[in-house]
Amino acid sequence: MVTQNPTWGAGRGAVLRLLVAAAVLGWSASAGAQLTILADSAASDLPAGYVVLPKIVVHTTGSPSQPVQPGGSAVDTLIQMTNTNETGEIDVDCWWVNANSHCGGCELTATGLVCGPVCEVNADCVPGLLCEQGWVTDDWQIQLTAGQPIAFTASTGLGRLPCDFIFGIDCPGGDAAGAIRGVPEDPFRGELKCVQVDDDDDPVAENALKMEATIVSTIVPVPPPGVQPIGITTAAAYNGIGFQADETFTPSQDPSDPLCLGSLPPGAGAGVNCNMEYAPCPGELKLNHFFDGAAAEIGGIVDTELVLVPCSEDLGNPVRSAAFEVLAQMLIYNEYEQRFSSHARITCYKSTRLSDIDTAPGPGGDSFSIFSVGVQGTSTGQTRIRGIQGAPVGLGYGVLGVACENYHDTNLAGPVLSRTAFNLHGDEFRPEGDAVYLELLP
Amino acid sequence: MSTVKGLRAGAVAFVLVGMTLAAATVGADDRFNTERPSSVEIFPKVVNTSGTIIQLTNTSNMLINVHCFYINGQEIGGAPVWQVTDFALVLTRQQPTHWEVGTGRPVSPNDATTGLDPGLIPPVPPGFVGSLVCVEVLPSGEPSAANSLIGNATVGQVTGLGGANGVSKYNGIGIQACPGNGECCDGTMNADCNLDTDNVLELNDEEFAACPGGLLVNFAFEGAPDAAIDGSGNTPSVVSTNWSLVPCGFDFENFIPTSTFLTFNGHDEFEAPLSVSSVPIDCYFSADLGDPVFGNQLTFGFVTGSTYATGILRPQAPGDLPALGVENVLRTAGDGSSDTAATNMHFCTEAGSPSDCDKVDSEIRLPNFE
Repeated sequence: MVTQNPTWGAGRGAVLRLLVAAAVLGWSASAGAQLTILADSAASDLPAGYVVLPKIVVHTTGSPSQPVQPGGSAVDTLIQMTNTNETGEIDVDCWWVNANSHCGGCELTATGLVCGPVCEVNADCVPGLLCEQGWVTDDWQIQLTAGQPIAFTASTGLGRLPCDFIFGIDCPGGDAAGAIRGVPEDPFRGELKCVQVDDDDDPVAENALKMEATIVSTIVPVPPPGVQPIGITTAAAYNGIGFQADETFTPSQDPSDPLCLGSLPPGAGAGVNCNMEYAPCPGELKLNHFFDGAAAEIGGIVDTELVLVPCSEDLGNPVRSAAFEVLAQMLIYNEYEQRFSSHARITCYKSTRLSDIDTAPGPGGDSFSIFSVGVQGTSTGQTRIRGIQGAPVGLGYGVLGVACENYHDTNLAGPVLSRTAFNLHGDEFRPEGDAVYLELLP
Repeated sequence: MSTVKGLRAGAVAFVLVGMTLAAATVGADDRFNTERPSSVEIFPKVVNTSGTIIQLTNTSNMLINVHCFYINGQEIGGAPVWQVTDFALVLTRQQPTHWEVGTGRPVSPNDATTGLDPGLIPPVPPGFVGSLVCVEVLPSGEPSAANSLIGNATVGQVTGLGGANGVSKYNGIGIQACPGNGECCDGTMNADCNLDTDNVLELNDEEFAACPGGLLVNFAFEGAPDAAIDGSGNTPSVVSTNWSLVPCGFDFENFIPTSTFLTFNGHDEFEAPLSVSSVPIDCYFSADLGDPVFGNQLTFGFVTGSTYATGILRPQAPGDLPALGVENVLRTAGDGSSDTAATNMHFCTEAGSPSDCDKVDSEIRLPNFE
């Protein structure tokens, strides 16, 4: 038995005991973590078993409620998906996550979900109705042949896959199957999430999915004898954010168990295990950006739209997901090395211009935002984003994101002449874990 | 040392070892990437035919030094110029900086570019097409393993409503340094896995990450229509894809241009095979998919009824270097308006058949001023 030297004092001894306990816990935790973490965190440059496209935007001439009129700007998202496994077919389950806001929200009736008109702000609704963000999922399943690439627009999906034997198309490497439904609403904004599964729809410990999204907008032609507006076409592309599955993990094959991103989040409940383990969410996102209103040296006035989504999801329980809010802390650095901070609340899906993060939505107060070039005094900055709290038990508070830059004509009120999209940088990993539930919890 | 003190020292050592081991079992994935802070940032597409803005950020809480190299990939008389121009930067903690390559950035508190000037950045000559490599170094000029840099490149121009407008953005390709102290990039322990003090970055998974064995690409055939534009009725639309590639390895000490040959193997949506061999990468490569080097195989109509394809770009022969690159897609609508969009190419990391993307060792040689 070790006798402490009395000159240390009880306080130092307590600290030593705490350090020893922490080391033991860390060591035992690391022994488990050694098997669960394949890559240090999610990546957009590797094929994966679970892929997220955080920004899907649709508003076309085919909208049944708000069709884009001639002379207006239609937007759609082209999605490319590839099975990088050149030796075998893969099955993929996907979910459209519909984050549209509706006047008066949505209500589940005997005939199904009934929603008010799609809106952006309260002013879009009749007096007395608020513009409420919803959270509804719509899933579909497909099978891709060995090494097969496909592409489809979010608005229309793909009713017939190349190499689908049902339609008499015979490919040497196997059969494709299934159909891709278009987004459930037009206009639409939300996400697409896809998981590689087996024939029983259980996630598999394989990494063969590669996905990209390109958001394309163009002017709808005006039929003669109307006057054609000056044409503007924009295209912005980003890579899907992939979570690599741990190929040594034995899945629980219980559909009520979640996909664990890193590890099972705290408080998941007795009897809950990981259906599959994937790389963890990034601990911190890093965004290199122009401050809103900056004049780019290549021309145009720039503002940035940031899309943030929670890493954790409950795809089987829309009510739980709709109530799930993550608080994201932001640290902003300008080129003078000066640091500022802000935060954003992310419920299901947050799409915001940078200068609307700390001001009222809309252009009114943007010149006072800490994301404004007039406030910061330099053209570019770095913003670090970290989810810090807010998750219900069993879900984590990791954050994923993608950024789009809009290049306006002569000022921010002018038309957008070009767009870019890019993946956010990331660092560290979230040891607390995140979870994606695919089934309704009992 | 008394028995009690020795036991206490042992307990402290146990704590430190335990915490160190706990830290070492995670994050063992230092590699080529497009999202992680790294010690090297490579921008494969830098042009002064329109314009390019480079954004470079120090993500650490320490002041860092950076040594950057412009590589001019223009060809004169069919031969690559391979002129290298270097410059040094100093970035303070968490400092972002930016510059446009055609104008550079002076060190002047009175110029129009506000912010802490990181150092004199020379402009590239008119017509420059090539790449930029930035290496985090120690004050002495030797490579640093701190993995502090992230970067983006914005390529194109905006001239005004009705004019030529097209801007695309991609992330710099990062090369991470291995953890060192005997830990390799893949998390294994090997006494050789340390950063030495010479001017050579060994890309071998012992000092820095080794080159990925291939690049995965998705694309529409050259000249194919764009489904999103066509859906709006603004037809006929046309898609054109450009690949910009550089070899994975540079010699800035002896100024020897790095060259390699690549093959492309893939297939379209209906599994029709596609194969292109002997794609030459002489220091810098940039071509649309309709270029004769691809033998018409990646052109719309080559395979009837097919619009999209995928494949792997890999070294042609043992000893050839792999390449790094970005894909830039130009979409033109029926009214003549257009825009470009860039994406980073995915890395192919599956070793062995059929992907055959075995990692390749290479190096970046910095100037030796001793």
